[in-house]
Amino acid sequence: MLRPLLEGKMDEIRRNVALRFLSVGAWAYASTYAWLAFLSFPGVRQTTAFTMVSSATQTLLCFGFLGCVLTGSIYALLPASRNVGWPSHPALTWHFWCTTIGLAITASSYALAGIFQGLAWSDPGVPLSTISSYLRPFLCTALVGQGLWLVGQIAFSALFFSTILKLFPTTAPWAVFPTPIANHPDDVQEIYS
Amino acid sequence: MKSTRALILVFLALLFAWIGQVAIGYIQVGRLEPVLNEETNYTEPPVPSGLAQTGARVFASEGCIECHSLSVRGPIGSSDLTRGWGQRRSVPRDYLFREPALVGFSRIGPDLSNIGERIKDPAEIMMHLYDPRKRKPSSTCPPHPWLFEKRIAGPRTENDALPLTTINWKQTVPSYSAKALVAYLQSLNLNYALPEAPLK
Repeated sequence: MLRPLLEGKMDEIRRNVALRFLSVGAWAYASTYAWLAFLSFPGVRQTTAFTMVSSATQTLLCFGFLGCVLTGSIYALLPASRNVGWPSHPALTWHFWCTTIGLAITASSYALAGIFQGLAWSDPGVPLSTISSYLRPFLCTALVGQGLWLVGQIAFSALFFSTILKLFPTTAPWAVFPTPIANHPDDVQEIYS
Repeated sequence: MKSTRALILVFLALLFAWIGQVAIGYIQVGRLEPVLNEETNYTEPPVPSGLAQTGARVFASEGCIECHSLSVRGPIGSSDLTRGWGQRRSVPRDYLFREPALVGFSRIGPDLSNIGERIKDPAEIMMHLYDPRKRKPSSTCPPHPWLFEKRIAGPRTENDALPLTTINWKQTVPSYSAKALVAYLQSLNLNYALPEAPLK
């Protein structure tokens, strides 16, 4: 199953929700370490120590890498192990996009908040209450991101429990969309040739 | 052959990580000892009282570390000293007797490494714990009323009761956890010099 991911076959990744989550997890893993490498520069480290950049790192690593890889694994393994399928394509789509967009919004909000917070901490003329008010818009945006993430998790919970309890008929046996997604006219020709 | 090479690479990666994270760290700070102050004949950093050590656990369990760090940074790239959070930077030796050794990872409020020196009156810290905005209106610190008990007051309020208006003859008295937490905060003091971190 991982071969399309390793070979970079994007059409197969797009169609398969498990592979989508695994690829997002891989990107989150790579982004976490690129982010940590950026933070390790002395000037950046001095500015961003004790700021919300640590929350950005945690979000990327725990929710991005660990969460997405675990979710992808569940999508891949559950149908095989329990001989069941997934009941709804739209719920699969909602779960993927809400999770991914929520993750991106949350992590980037925390990262920007941390950088602004660090710059404000460096200036002794800026009082603490002002720094807190600087952070408010970023934290509100992060809250929106976490809300989206929650919507995704609700969709996933509904899918998971209805699959385990066999509440609805199966429409997506392997969490794979029925037709390939064509993004370019050449793709259409390739798919139907 | 390929698998042997891969295993060697994995082993080397783990070895380098262990050297960087554990071995070098141990060489740098693993054998630190307290320094004897010949004038006072006490060790520095000072050993905190039992109540203060209990207070460190209250500090950790209340989640204060989410918003307060316990590490003053040096003058390069930070304004900690200019903000008056300490007379010198924190060094690893300061944490020798702190169990758990809380350094912090995020700052919403000020650093508390030197709070015992900055706020000397325990009643003021107690009031801050009960309702931070009564002491400082712009504070974003949450109140901790569960660290206090409401008790029926006698003819007079108890000595350690908070200076609040009594309602229905009830006074607000700090619990053991609040007293321990205040003892811990008062023990946080960087007013001593160390060989690697002299006072300004």
